[in-house]
Amino acid sequence: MTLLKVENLKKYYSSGLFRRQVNRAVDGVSFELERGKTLGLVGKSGCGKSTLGRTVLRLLEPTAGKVFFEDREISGLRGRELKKLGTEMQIIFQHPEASLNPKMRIYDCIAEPLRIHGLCGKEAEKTRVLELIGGVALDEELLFRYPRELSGGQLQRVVIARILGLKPKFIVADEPTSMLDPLVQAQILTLLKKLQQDCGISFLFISHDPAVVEWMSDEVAVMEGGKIVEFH
Amino acid sequence: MTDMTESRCINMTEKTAEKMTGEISEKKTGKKAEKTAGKMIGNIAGIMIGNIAGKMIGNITRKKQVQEFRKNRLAVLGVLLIAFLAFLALFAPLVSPHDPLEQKLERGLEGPSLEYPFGTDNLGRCIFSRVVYGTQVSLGIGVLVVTATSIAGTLLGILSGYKGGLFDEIVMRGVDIVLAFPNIILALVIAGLLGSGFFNVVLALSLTQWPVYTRLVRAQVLSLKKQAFVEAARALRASNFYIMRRHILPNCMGSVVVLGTLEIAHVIIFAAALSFLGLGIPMPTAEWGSMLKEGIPYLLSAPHLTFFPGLMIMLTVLAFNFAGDGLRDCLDTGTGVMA
Amino acid sequence: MSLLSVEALNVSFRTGRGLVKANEGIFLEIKEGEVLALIGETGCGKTTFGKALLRLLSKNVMIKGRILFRGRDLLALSRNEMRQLRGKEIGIVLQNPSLALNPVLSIGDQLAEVYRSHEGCGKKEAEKKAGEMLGLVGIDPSRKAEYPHQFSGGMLQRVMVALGLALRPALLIADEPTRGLDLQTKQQIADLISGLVKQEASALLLITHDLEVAEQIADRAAVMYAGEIVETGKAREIFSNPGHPYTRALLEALPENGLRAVPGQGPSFVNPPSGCRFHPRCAFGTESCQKIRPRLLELEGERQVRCLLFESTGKPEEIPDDAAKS
Repeated sequence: MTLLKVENLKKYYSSGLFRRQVNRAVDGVSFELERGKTLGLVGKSGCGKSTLGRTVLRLLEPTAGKVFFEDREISGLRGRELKKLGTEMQIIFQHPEASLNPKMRIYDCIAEPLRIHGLCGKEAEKTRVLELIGGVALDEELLFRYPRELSGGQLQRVVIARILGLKPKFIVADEPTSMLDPLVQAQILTLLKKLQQDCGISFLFISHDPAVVEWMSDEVAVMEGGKIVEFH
Repeated sequence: MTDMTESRCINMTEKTAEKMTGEISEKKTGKKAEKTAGKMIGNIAGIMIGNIAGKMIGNITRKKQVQEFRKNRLAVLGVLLIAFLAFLALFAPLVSPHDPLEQKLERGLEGPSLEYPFGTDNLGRCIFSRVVYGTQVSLGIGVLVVTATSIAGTLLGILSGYKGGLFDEIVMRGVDIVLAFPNIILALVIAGLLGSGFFNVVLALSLTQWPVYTRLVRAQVLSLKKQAFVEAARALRASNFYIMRRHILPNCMGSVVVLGTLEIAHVIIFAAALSFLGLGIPMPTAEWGSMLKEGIPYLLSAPHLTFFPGLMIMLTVLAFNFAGDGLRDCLDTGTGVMA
Repeated sequence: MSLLSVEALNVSFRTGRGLVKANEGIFLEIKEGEVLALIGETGCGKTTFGKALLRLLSKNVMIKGRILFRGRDLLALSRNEMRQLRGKEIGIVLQNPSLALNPVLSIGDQLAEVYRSHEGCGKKEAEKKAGEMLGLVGIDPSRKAEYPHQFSGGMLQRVMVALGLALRPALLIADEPTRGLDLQTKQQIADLISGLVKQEASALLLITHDLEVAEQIADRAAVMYAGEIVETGKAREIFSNPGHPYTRALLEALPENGLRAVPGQGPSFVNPPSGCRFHPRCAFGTESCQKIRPRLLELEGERQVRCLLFESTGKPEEIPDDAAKS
């Protein structure tokens, strides 16, 4: 069953003061993603794969094209409906050190999405946060620390835990392990795969490492110059 | 997955639960205590800075940074001096031996003695008492101006940096215009238009000082905006107001506090300068700047008229500069990301 | 002929939490013109080791042992002598180009600065040399007037290599030169470094967690875990036939080898585990591993392994293969 359908998506940037230069970061991309499956996206840096990930989520407004999520076009959503989309589609970033607010304790980082979307009351929150941090195999002790006291691998787990609180159906993973060591990378990827099996999450998995993408994905798209040049 | 975590959760040690509730309640009472303390003492600079700094530092690892701050001797000296000045301002009636306005013309221009520790001025007023009362005025102006400008300047900076567009253009042109004039001249013009008086001085200085914060904060917001954690909050579909309040503001506060501390010194000098030029606090009130002005004709015959208020200005400015520098050092080292 | 030989090096930091022992009992040797890869996870102490060689660590550090470079003990040199040596005889490529380069100076000026301060070149000559050096690392010398923000990550890394090799040092220390780069750029940088090092007959200490890069360009490899060297040997042999369980785990975590994850994290440096430091995460651990601190055992063919499993047998084959899967 199709969860996400992208049709001829384009994102152009124009720059230059006198001579307009148009940078076609994403130039007419179409794909479909089924529930519980992973689409891998490989390509060199600067090929537009990160831009594509953000445009699909509407973190960037597309220049043209349509994105359907559960058969609903999301580009027109406003207000409450758009906010609800935040619980359904999420993103994991490349730099775990920058992904969490340095002034917030880990507990608050994980509780924040629950609070923003009013997903549970004050009392239930504690239980839920403990549940979430346990789900990514981190020690409860870490809840009272600040992000800079944690290692990159631990931070990436916190990021995953905080997103899982929303029970999303679709996650864009934008090079989630490219800054991590091989051992930690293996841990994080295994965790993501396990979560996918347990919760039926679909992933758009972006990476420049073909071996990693191969391991993670059901289908792989190769991107070059803003276009998908190959599916396999 | 949930099954597994649930069992984990049930097995959660009581200790952790206790720690958690303890942590939260401690946070609340701590904040309350800070607030009431702040109210009680009102506009006393030293405590107020301690208060804000405490909050800031509390946000990061409190202990380490307090240690860092303590190691910096000049900063500690600065804080002690500020505390001393705050004490003078608060308890001026108890500290000063005479009424600062009481004139004894027959005892004018006396040198320091036991009765008049700093001597008397041309009208026979006790310089020591006047200097002590002057602390109230100077610190009051400094704290009021800095509080007002830092709040207004920070808000404008955050809005302007985060929203961008036309609003940003307008605010930044305003900043440019104010900063294009030499500060003191602009303050003089405004004070001249408004006339002298305590609140007019505060207003004149506030109108010239807010852009400093706006510019600093806006620059920080521009770089914070690109950070992944802000983007993550946008992906959560948090409102712009929420993002500015919870993610942008806390990460700007450190530098605003540092700048504010340094700015108090700045403002106190400006206020003294305005009074010195006759546009500040009206005459009989004891104020360091106007005391300097009154002492000028006697610079050679009775230098103590100008020496003591001058010394106080210098000490106050140094104190706030030391404290500000120390604060900057310890906040800087504390937020660095470990490699 | 050994160029650098490190003997019983201990590096520790005094901190509020206690003594952090970042490096313990390290013996390591680099020969002239040799490429040695120092492999390990982030936070295992490998960057500390590289910086200790050049005495670039913070003030609260304590360094014991000897670092002999061409027979001179670097730890006994005066600060001035050390400053002379840095760059000239031992060059370093630091980890984060965006932090290591000055954003308000052009690339060419930063490179020329090296020649002016170290070799006392005139302005013209320094600029000429800087241009040549940029050409050497594959950057068009006409770009020398550009600033760091105009360069991509891979190009900045090339600039860092140019800075490290500018004075033709006998030893180059490259700290994670390929971190965060995409696959193709990574390949280019790795080729560039190994090519230049050969061309200049410099030795290279490559500090990395990237096993593919290490395998490609290193002659010998040393694996570090929790501040200790756990295995050394010829690079080819280590990668084809890893001895220490940790080395095995590292290799098995690679996606092409099945991406098998070892649970847990690198241990604390303040209270390291008793016995073998890897035992809490080791798939082959026995009871004695918790008690006995293994020594670095000499095996055949310049191989050293710090593991009790080798004490009795001396053969890596003895490790049961099924155990790894559980």
